[in-house]
Amino acid sequence: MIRKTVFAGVALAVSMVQAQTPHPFDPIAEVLQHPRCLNCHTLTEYPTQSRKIVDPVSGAVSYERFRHAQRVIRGEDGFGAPTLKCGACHQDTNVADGKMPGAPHWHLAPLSMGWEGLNRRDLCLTLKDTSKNGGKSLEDLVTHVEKDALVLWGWEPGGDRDTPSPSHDSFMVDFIAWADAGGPCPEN
Amino acid sequence: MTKETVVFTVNDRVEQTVVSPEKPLLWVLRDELDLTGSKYGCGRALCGACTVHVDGQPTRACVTPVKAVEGKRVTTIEALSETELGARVQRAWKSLNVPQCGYCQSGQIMAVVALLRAIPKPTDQNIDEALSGNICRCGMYPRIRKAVHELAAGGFA
Amino acid sequence: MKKTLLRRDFLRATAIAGGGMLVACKWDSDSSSRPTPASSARRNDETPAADPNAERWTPNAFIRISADNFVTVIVGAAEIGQGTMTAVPMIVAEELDADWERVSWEQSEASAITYGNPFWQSEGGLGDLDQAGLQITAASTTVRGYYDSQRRAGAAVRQMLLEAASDQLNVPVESLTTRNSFVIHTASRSRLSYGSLAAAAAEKLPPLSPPLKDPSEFRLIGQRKQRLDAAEKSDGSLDYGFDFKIPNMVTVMVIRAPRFGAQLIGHKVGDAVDVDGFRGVHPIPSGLAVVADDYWSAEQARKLITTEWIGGEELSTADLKDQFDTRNSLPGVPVRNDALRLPGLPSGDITEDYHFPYLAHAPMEPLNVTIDYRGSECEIWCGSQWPDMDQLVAATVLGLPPAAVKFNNLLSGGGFGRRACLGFDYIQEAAHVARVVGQPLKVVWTREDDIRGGYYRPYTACRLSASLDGAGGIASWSHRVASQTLLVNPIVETALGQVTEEVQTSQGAKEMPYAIPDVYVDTHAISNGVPTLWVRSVANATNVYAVETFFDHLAKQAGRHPLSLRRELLQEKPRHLAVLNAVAEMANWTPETNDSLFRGVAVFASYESVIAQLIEADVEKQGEGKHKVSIRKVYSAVDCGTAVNPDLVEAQIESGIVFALSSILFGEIELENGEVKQSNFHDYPVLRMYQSPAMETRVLPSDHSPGGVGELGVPCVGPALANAIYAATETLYTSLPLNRHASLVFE
Repeated sequence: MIRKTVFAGVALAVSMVQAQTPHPFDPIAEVLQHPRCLNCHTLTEYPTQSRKIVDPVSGAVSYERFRHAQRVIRGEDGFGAPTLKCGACHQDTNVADGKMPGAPHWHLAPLSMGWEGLNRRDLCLTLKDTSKNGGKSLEDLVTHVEKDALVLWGWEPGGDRDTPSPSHDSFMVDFIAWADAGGPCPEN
Repeated sequence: MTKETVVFTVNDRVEQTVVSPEKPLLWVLRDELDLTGSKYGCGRALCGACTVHVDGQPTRACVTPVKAVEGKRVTTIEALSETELGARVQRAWKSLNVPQCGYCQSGQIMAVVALLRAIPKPTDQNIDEALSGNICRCGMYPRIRKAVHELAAGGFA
Repeated sequence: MKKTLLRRDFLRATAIAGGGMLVACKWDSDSSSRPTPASSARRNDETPAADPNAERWTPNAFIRISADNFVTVIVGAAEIGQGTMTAVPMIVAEELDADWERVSWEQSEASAITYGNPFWQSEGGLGDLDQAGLQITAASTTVRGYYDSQRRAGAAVRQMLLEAASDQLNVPVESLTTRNSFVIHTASRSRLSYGSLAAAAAEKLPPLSPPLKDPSEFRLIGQRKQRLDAAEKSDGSLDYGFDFKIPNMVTVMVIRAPRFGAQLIGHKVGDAVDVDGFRGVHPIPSGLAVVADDYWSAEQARKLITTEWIGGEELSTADLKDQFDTRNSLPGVPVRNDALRLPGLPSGDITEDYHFPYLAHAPMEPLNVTIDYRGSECEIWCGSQWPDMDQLVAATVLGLPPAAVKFNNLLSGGGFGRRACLGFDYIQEAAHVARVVGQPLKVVWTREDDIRGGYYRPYTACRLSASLDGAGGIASWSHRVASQTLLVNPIVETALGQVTEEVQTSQGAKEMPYAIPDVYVDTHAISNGVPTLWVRSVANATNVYAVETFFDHLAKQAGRHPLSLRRELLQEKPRHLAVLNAVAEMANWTPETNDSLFRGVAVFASYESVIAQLIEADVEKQGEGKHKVSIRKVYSAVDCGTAVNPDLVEAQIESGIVFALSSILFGEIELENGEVKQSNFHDYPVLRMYQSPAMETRVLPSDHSPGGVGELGVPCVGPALANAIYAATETLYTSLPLNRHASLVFE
């Protein structure tokens, strides 16, 4: 069903790619730079948590990210220290009425896939770089962002956590269009 | 609500319970098995008072659906003195007057035993990383840290 | 079983006036009519178990001696973590000359007449209670309140044992000595155990003024003894209230008002009826009681029930700053006026306004009450800092005489004042629930219930104003406090007498210790609908922050080093000066120190004790006017008079430091249109292991009688830290918590 919806939108997206405005990676970057992704795609030895800040005057939304309160660390495999693994708390699903987030194989992305501070070009290059992304082709990446439980959690994070503004379906349309266009990266 | 049968081991005893599968392990332990040594403090994995071991790993029982421990080995504070390390940690706790109100100490001790099993000679940083999920409102952190270092040095054998 | 009416009559005649020790000789076989909770009586786990069938002698209300020579000390004060169940037995065992390895503790029943803390003796108006003192564990009074009476209790029983031995050996009492629970007659090489003498000793008249040891003879007091409750707090076996179960018990959670004071006007049970274990709901004064089989079913059901409310307090904490500052622009009620000036605006030319937020106690064990109401009688199990009053309040709600309510006080998973509630919220509520439910039950509070349940440390604003004398000193000092009054309940006000003194909002401001010619302190009591309560160290926490940071600010304006100016202005306060000098020496800090660390110090006296605390911090300049602060070490020098157990004193000070840092760094309860924003440890954080700094604590030797230590370690921590930051940044942070200031980053 999702796949169907996704493909229905591809034509439109492809035409947008051809129009070259905006850059096809832009909507993908918007999602990847959301705290739902960045909190575990860190360049640090630990994950972060975040707090939404709404400017009382302009209403502009920003996020303050800070080190995970329980001082958990990445560990050798991204699943935490042997003394306090991510799974000590995070379950296969959100629990405690969604207040406690969880999804299968909850862990940090490898350091090579740390996205913090990257501009859109570097983010795009990193995403595609098979030496960094676990040997994933563009097609593999499409499958990953379409089906991986941890990726999908980003749109169902539970509690009052907000999600990237494009829906997952919309994100898939953009992602497939980008992949079909050969994964072009913006200049900066 | 649908119930399921969940079979798991608690302190080397096979337990079977027919429950709603999302019921947290903590309430199965406390209200069904009468193992009240694991404490409720927050219900959201924020304080660590409910820490038990699941297959040897420290785990917050208050957010762990009982279904998630199907077929696994759960160890609680009640069985800890049966292990050499557990008994040593408890001796250290008594000897150094670590507990004040004591309510968090089941969780602290479970976390400390897991720490010393994984890292027999932990650094201060190892201690911070292993124990910062366990809140002690009485603030006995300096004593817990001291106890861990003395245990690592072979104390309380 | 022996039972001598004569002796029981006799004992009523020997109540010792003024001492709080009711000598209550009675025979006590081991057949108490009600089971005591497993947790309420434990012995040192290193000792062999006493024979439960052995005949036991309870020579007074505080001591029981069994035939097999075990001594049980019955403790009136509550154990909330501070070490009561070790310190009080040490005091008794010292004068009794008991074998510490065979001493255990037992929590007393709720009875102010017998177990009230002599510290709280009233000046009149409360009948029998005047002499007894309230059975409240608050204001760091356990050791200092019970010290004399417990020493006399131990010494009196020792005297009775000596007389019994004298009869048996037919030798003069003066030829006998005691040691480790034995009476010894050296000449005849006789050694009689206390247990073997107990029956005969029970016939003796308790001496009114037994001789007490000279402190130089102490064998226990002053020793670093292991806590008697450490074992059961390390193996999960201690039943806290949350763990305690009685047969046929149901679990109750309450849906409480979303705004303080709101009234329930409707509810819909909805899908809760389908929750397995859900039993029903009952409107009660505090909200809607949800009854279920156990915790999980109660929690599941409660979530599905909707309620409708009307009215209630709608204030927003964001508005309080202006409101309190406005009050502070007007004269308050003077509480100190050294220069006899006209009440009015203080005249200093250096002025600062301070603001302190509401704070929740957040003890690790959330509130809970187990209650079995059977119509004409009732039994309650609850960890309480105020069991006699909780008993009385429950009896009132249930329409029973207090004697029909048996109150079993359990060890508490923390209290910090929340379990001595001036509004008696949790006990009243449980009694109301018991009236309507008709079976044994436990009311449990979730962490969210606890954080949102009110009875906060009150919001407080202080206006400090001073002028310098132009010669490196301070000419005048004024301190105005605007705070919510805690004593909202007239019954409480009458009952507490001395408490009024202890908790008034000027505490810590009025006692400002520095030698300044013109000192003026006044207060405003502000009322609103947010229920407030004492939190560990009460108004000292806020007032001492203001006093001690303002002091450093003035020292800076006067071109003085904060240490030198403190020393100069504390010349008349030798205890203050001694702890100040000790802490500076511990940290190797002098006015000449010039290194990369920043230091701040604060001094404070209360509870008949004195403390100085010094914080060493790294303060590093970052971009955008920010500073990164890491606390390197906290030094404390304490004069608490006689330290009964110095290790427990140190533990209390360390505990106070962590408690204080939690509130100074991030403690804040906010309300928006009456609704509490915080709910659990993610948005009401408390200090964690990695944030806990290194500490060094020194307890100075002292011959003073014991002072309190439970709250002593709290008030100086904030100002010591703020002063270290001030030394680095010259910025005076006048509002808490500190992490609210974008210019500060804590590592």
